[in-house]
Parts: sequence; structure tokens; C-alpha cells
Amino acid sequence: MPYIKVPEFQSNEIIDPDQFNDAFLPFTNMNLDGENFMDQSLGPDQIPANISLTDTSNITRTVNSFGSQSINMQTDFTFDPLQSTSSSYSGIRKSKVNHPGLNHIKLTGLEAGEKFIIRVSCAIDIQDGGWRTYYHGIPPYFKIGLVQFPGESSADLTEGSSSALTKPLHSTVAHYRVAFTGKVPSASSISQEASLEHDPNTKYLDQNYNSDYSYRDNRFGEDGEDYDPRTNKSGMPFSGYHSYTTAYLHEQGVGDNSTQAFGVMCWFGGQSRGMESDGDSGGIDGCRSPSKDEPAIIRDFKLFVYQVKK
Amino acid sequence: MPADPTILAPVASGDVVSAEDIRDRFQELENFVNGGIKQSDLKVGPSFTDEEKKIFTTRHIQKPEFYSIANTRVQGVSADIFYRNRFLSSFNRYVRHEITGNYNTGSDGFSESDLNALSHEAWTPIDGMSTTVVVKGTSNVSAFVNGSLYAWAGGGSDNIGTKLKERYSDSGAGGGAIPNDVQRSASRRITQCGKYIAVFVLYVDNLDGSGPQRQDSTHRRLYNRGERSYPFRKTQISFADRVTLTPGPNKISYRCIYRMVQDNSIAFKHVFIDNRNFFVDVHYK
Repeated sequence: MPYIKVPEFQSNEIIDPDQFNDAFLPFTNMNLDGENFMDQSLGPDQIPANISLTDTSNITRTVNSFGSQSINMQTDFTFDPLQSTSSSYSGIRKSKVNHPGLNHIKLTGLEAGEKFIIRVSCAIDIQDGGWRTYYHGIPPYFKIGLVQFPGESSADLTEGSSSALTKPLHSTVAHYRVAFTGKVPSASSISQEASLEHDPNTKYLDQNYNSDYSYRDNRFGEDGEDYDPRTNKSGMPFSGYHSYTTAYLHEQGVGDNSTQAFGVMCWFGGQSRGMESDGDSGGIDGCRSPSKDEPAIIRDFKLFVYQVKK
Repeated sequence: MPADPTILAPVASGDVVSAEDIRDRFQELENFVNGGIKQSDLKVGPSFTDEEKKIFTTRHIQKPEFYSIANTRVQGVSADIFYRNRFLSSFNRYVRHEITGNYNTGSDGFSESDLNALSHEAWTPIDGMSTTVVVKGTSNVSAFVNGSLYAWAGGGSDNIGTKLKERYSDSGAGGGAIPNDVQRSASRRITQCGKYIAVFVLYVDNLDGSGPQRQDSTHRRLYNRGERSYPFRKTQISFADRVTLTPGPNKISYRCIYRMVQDNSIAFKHVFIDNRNFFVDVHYK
């Protein structure tokens, strides 16, 4: 059947009854084919009764969320579950190191061919530790990604637990780093005049250590103003704040364990001070141990799963 | 069957058609077009043969859209999908000005608790990242909301205005500006670069009288740029969430609030929200 063209009626014109009838009568005797349906016109009402998109019978734990969780900085890769060359991770899982909040969702009673979409979203907050105070300094980076725990349940995923079957899902892995950092109080910090512009809450100088250290200025070499020998400093300006959102399709394979858990694991490290650690140095040499190893924070975390059925 | 011929009855010359009759006719048409079409109305026999099935093609099926990871694993499911897609264009740019919906922190800095205490009315829906979903039936359904945007701050002013050529010279020394001005302006820029200028969060209103409800796990922040000195503060913001919708209309919006130290803070400028994507997958069954 062709498209129905409704006559155009003008204001203040007398309506011809034939035109009026042309507008309505075709609807009383219709024979529709595909041409009469607009694109994407078949919606949920046309889904047959035996189709389900939200079957939850296999999903023992559907969602995991938390507000914030600290992740401590590491100095080696011992607890890094996301190394690009490994297909598994047999090391231990720790809440504040590589498995934030021991998060996971859990699927049970799985059969080959069943499919699930797992999504995760969070923000990653990394403090500026002043790693670029020295030229050779390198700020840390944050790795995060989905990990599969075949055959494990909530009782298995405890602090310090491990399994050689733990499998990083590399297609979901992301790395975050701000290439720049501020400079901790050192020979490079701001002058008295600039410092005076700031109220105590925002200045980068720590009077808690010594009220005399309200500013430093070494423009005049060793005869310059006092310096702050503190080695730790927080509240610097180049903190990183990153969104992480990913999704993964799990298709249960033949011979796979009928119980599967998934969670997000991470690792925080890779930093370099660029100078040897020496907390006693200062003044024109600057402090040689610039960073307090402040943890990264995973914020507003949500992990969830749903089954895909046909 | 087709539309009711008694309602869409033919008229003759001289007949008076009442307003009620017009309303009834359009009501009947709406009922027919919006779900009233039966198999008997289709140009097919009592049962669909393989040939007859060809009257419907994939274009008739609700388009499956999925956010997925950057590989080939994409799985489409039939669902009710609402989406917005804004391509790169200055005409599609959404600009947050400080004149509405801002939140003053004062000199105490960013306060999560103060922010949480604000009314939902203080948060402005981002253009292109809102939708109304009418849930059919009588049961609550899950909706999977995904959104991403590219946001950045205009930069603000350090209020000293040293020029680049004044700060540096070819010899490596200062370019003529008063050293303290150079240091002071740099200090101001870097300070402002370390402050959040905007915050984003998803709100869902089930229209049950309790008002829009904040979805905490979608909270995201944006840093200021310190007089445009720090391009790396341009940020890709993304979130994924699962929310519950109730029968009838539900309003979903990703919202933004502009943060200032005080109303006349010139260290903050505008927030630009460029490319946006917003998907709501409603799973009915």
C-alpha cells in the first residue's frame, strides 16, 4: 500500500467532504507491507514472550559499588596483576594494593554459550607528589582493568588470597598519568612577594613545620631567604582526575568452570624521584626526597553485569 | 483489524463535523498506529511464510547500540534505546556560564559535603544529555545509562597580564617583566589549575513525587586551566550506571554545576562541553 497523503486544509476555507474522507477512509481498509513501517518501528512490544534480556538466574551478585578506596603506591611490580605480557596473575590480592575493596560480581551455574556483559565505571584521583621537582623525576601512573576469577566465589576473594587462574582482561586495561607535577618546596619555590598573595590554605609553604618558613627565595644564591627542608608536601596543583569506563563481553566456553567472578584490579607505581633520597638536604640544593607517597583514590566505583539472551 | 470505520465514518456535503468527532478520529488513528496494528492488517497470509517475512528488514528493528571496549567484541541485544550523539561542531557546543547554577566555595576550597547538600535544582542538565523514558507495562525495569563528554575550562585570568615575551627572552633570562610579577602571575595560574571548576552527576526522576535522585557513582569533576596555561586539563569524562525506572515517564539527565570561589572570581572563566554521547538502554524483559 502506498503512503497515505493527507489533504492540506487551509484556514477559513470550506472543507470539501471528499477531501475530508480521503484523510480518514484509507485507514479503514488497510493492507500493510514493510514500506508502511518507519525505520526502527519494531520495539519491545514485538519481542516474543519467550525472550528474556534480564534473566538473573545465573547472576549471584549483580552489582558492586563503593564511594572511595585508597590504593597505595608500589615500588615494584610484585602485586601488578595487569602486566602486559602475562595471561594470568598468581600473586596475592590486597584491597589497598591491587584489588580495591575486593570488588567482584559473581556468576554461577553457567553453561557453554551463555553471554554476559560486564560494565565498570569509576573516577581515579591521583595526587601531585612533586615528582618533577628534579629533571629526571617521573610521576607514577595508575593501571586499572577488569580481571576474571574462574571458579572463585566471594568466600575465596579475601584479603591476601591468590589463584593462579586469575586472568587479566587486557582489552579493558587503561593507564593514567599526568606527565607534569608541581615542585615541592625547594630552591625552586616562589618568592616572598608571590607567597604573600596567598592565604594559608592555598600557599605551597608549610608553616606548620616552622613558622619562619612562610616563604623561600633563593634568587640570591646561598644568601637567599630561608628554605623549607620538609620532604613531604600535599595540596600541589597537578593532581590527576580521570574517568574510567569499560565493558566486556564474557561468553562461557566449553569446559569453563561453571562459576565465574569478575572484578576490577589495579596497580599504582612506576614513579622516580630523579635524585637519591636524602631528607636532610635543602636550601639551594632543594629537598632530595620530594614526594610523600600519597595513595591514589578510586572514587564513585560501580561494577555491574547483565545477561544477554536471544 | 484496520481502524474502526464507524469512528472514521465518511461525511457528506453539508454535514457538521464536531470537535469531539475530530478528536475521536485522531484518537482512533493514534491507537491504531501506536500498537493497534494486527497481523491481519499486514499483506501476508494467516502464517508468515519465509517470503512474507521479507516485508520486514533489519531497518525496522530497534537499532542496537552499545558502548564497548575498543575491540571487535560487540554484542547487540534488542532493547528500547534512547541515544544522543553530538558531533564535533561549535554549534553543538554547550557552554556553562557562571550566572546560573554555580556554587561558591569561598576560600575553604572544594567541599564534597557542601556540594551534596545542594538541591537538584542547582544542577543544570547538559544540553543533549537528557531524555524522558516512558516505561510500558506495570513492572519496574533496569536501564543502563552510558555517557561521555569532552569538557574544558576557558581559563580565567591571573589578573596581572604579563605577556609571554615579557616572561622569556632568547637569552633565557627574563624578558623584561618585573620578576615578582612573573612569579606572582605564574603562582596564580598554577593555583587555579589545581582547583575544580565544574562537577557532573546523573539525576533520575521517576516522577513519583520524590524529585530527581542523584546517582552518586556517576560523579565526575573537571579541573580549571589556569589562564589557558595547562591544556592537559581538557578532560574526557565518562560514566556507566544501572538505574531503576518505574512504569510511566522517567526523566534522566546528566547535570553540571559550575564552581567558583566567589561570584566575582576572575580566575575562573566558562566551561565548554563539546562532544557528547548519551545512551539509555532500557531492558524490558
